[in-house]
Parts: sequence; structure tokens; C-alpha cells
Amino acid sequence: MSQPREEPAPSFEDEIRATVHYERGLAVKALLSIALVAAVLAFRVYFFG
Amino acid sequence: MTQLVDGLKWVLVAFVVIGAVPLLVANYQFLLVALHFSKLHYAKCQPWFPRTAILIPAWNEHAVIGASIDRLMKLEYPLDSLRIYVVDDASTDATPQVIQGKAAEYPENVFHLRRDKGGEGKAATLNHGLDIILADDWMQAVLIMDADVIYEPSSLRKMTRHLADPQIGSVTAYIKEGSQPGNYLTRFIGYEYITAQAAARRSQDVIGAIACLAGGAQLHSRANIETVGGRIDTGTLAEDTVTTFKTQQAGRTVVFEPHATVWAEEPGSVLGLWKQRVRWARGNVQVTGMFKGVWFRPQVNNQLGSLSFGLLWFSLLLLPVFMILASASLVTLYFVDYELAWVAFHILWLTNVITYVFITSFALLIDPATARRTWVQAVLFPGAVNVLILLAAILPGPLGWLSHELLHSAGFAMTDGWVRGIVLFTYIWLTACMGVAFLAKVAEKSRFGRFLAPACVYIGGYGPLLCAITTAAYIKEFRGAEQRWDKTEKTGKVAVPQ
Repeated sequence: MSQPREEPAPSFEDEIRATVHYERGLAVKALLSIALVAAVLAFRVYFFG
Repeated sequence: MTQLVDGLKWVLVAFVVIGAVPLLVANYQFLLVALHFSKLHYAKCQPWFPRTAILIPAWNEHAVIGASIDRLMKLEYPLDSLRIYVVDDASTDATPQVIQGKAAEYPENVFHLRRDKGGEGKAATLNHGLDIILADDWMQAVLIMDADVIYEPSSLRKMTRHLADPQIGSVTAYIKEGSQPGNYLTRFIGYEYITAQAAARRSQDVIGAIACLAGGAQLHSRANIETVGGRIDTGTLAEDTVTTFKTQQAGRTVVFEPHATVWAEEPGSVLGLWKQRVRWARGNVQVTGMFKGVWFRPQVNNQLGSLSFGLLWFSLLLLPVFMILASASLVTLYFVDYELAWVAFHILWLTNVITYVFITSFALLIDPATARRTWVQAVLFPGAVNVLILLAAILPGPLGWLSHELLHSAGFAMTDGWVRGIVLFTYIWLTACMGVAFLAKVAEKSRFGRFLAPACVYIGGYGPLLCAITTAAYIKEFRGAEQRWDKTEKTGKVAVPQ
């Protein structure tokens, strides 16, 4: 195997940081979707039994 | 006798409720996506540029292959670590000349490999290339791709960084539909790929078992390709899946890199989609049998036998069976015990509402850029009639009033007979929607196919269309129909959306 080449370290690390940030954001987006489901069910139960 | 009828009723109710299982599994799968951040592999990644051989099978690809090579030469990757091997599968058009032209333009990087006897399928073509690439020790990693796909400049380096960890055998990327200009069907596929690629592969990452490396974007370490025998399986229609399974059975990890994006041209006609997906579905049936010792049998060195992976695999594989069984049971119950049928239907449909709202909203949030192009198709994915039934479940009062008014204005009264008729139609529609979606294939060939085919897909649903295709594939497979490699037609209209 050739040796790992040095990319400008901040660039690689920044890219990984941004990626991890995006993936963590998916958990928040999932919570938003779950909240939407809860809202739809609550609406259904409250107004139509 | 009464006991027998009661027993039958509860069996039918059970079949209806079991129909909700794939929906629950789909919700589980999307919940796993939310946990993807906890299973990321980046801690073991490095900026890593192994000597990579890009292997492209090509049969009559003159319209796309030249531009593909030019784009690959612009990847953010050191050119002295990049070689492009195009395996020309006895093309009868200008493909050899185009490749030879590019080989002359990039003599250090582009190589033309010619098969004089072609038509044996993609796997055989790839094996021809692998034999040559593995014959010397230059190659440290091999990227298998399709002739027409577009790699974003950063994609390959984002994939190779995972190979810095020797435990990783293969890496796959996020394939996105990129036809320009697209049509209604490519937009449906665009949305489908959020669910089937961006979401499904993330959830499989969390489980630790990947079902399939994308055919147009599979990167293998040399050690891995040698471990799986240095060859791609030629005995099934799902050679990508077989390689993926063998990699994991050998104890190596397969990683999905969702931020390496690859754009592909997908079928713009129902007929083209039908051919492609029948091949995929038959391949999945073959893989299910080929790896029959794997399912639900936990292994020490891989997660293919885990309960979660088995549920994901079989709930998708058996989805048409679940749908038909639920619908047939509901219709039978309707005549045996109307009230009980209504209760069973409510359980099924409540699960459906939850699944629809959760998955549609979350999928659109996972990939907002694709969502902007495909949100209409996302909403209408189950079909307009099914969406109406879902709305009726959420808003029974207003929709009941609306249907009453519509009937009244047409000179009819909403009698009990009408209500029962609508209920029976709803039960039948669970399966009939597949038939309407199937009509899209038939209608497409007709004089008015340009209008009728989209109408059938929008009314019947793209999801039900996929189920209809899967059902057709099972019938073909169990009949032992001839196994053919129907290459998806490519026109070179794929582009990265601006």
C-alpha cells in the first residue's frame, strides 16, 4: 500500500466535522417527523374521535 | 361449525394485521437512520489515496463513454494513482474508437480492454477486466462503476478514505437519479432513491450489514476482491448483492458513504423500469436461496444473520405477498363479518397513516435538494387513490361530507349500500392498485401512452407499481424463465442538477 498522503489537515478535518454535523442533524429531523406524526394523530383524535 | 367460522375469522384478521408488518419494519428502518451518527466510521478514516483501478463495463456506450472518461480524469484524485480500464464487451457501435481515442489522449491512465465475444452479461465483462487488473500488483483498490454515471469530483476520495482501515472491504456511494430533463418517472425514482439508498443504506450501516453495493459505485480493497475469489458471480442476476454478501461473510465490513454522490440515468419509461426491476427482483430471490444458511442465524464475524437485517430483507422481498394477503382477507371478512373487517382495516390503515407521514416527511428532510425536485412524487408515491384513503382516515368528517355532497349533486343519496360499496372498493384497492399501476406498462405502448401511462402511475401509485413488478419477477423466477441480462438503455442525458 502506498503511504497515506497528507491533505491539508484542516480541510480533511473540516469536511469530516461537517459530515458528522449533518448526520447528527438527521436525528433532529427524525424527531421533527415524529412530532408531525404525533400532531396528525392528535388532530384526528381531538376532532374526529 | 360456528367454532370453525370463528376460527377462520381470526385467521383472516391475523392476515390483515400481518399486512402491517412491512410498514412497522419500514418505520423501524427509518428510526435507525436517526441513529446513524452513532455508527460513523470517520474516526478510522484518513486522507488515503490507494492506487485505484476504475473498471467500466461498456457495451455500445459510445454516446456516454467519452464524457465519462473526461469527467473521471477531473476527479480530486492524484492521476498517478488512477487508471481507468474500460472493458468493451464486443460493442458494435463506435465505442472501441471512442475508448481508443481517450487512451491516446490519456496514455498513462486509460486502457481499452476488448472482448471479442460479448453478450454474456455484466459480471462476465467485469471478470475479463478483473483478470487483467489482478495479474499485476499495481492495483490496491478497484472501483466498479457503470459507463454513464457521473462521479462528483470529491466522491472517489471520500470513498477511499474508508479503506485506510484494513477492516473495511468495500465502500459504496449514494446513487442519485440525475436525468436532465427528467420526467415524472425519473422524479419518482429520484424520491425512491432517497428511501432505498440514502435512508436504507444508512440504516443498514447502523445494523452492521449492507444488503447491496450500488452497481454503479462499488469500491473494493484488493485484499477484499482477492478474498471473494477475484471474480464476480455470474450465476445470478444480482452479482452486486452476491459480492456484498461474500465480503461480509469473509469478515470484512462494507460501508455506505452517503456524502460521496454519484449521479445515474435511470429509466424514463415504465417498460424500461419494468425490465430493470424484474432483473433486480429475480436476483434478490436467487440471493435469498443462495444464502439460505444466513437468514436469522447470528454469525460471529458479520451481521447478515441478525434479526434486524432479516426483517428488513424479507419485509421488502415479501411485500407483495403481504399486500395481496391483507386485501384478500379483508374482502373475505367483509362478507363474513363486516364489523370485524372494519376494525381490522382500521388497525392496518392507522399503521399506514403513521408510516406515510413519518417516512415521507423524514425522507424529504434527509435529502432536501432532491426533495425540491420530487416532493409531488413523494406525496403521491402510494398513488392518488391511496392518498385519498389516507386522508379519509385522517379527516373522516370533512371527506365524508364532501363525498355526500358530490353524490347529492349527481342526484344520488348516500345510502348504506353506497357506503358498503365504497368500503368494499377500499379493501379491493389494496391489491387492485397494483393492477392499475401495471396498466401503465400496457398503456405506454398505446397511441395515448404519453398521457395514459403517467395517469396510471399517479392513480395506482409508484409503490404499487414496484410491487406489481416484483410479483411479475417472482412468477418469472418460479416458472424458471430464461435469465437474461437486459441492459438498461442509456442516452447520456444524466447531469448534475444546478
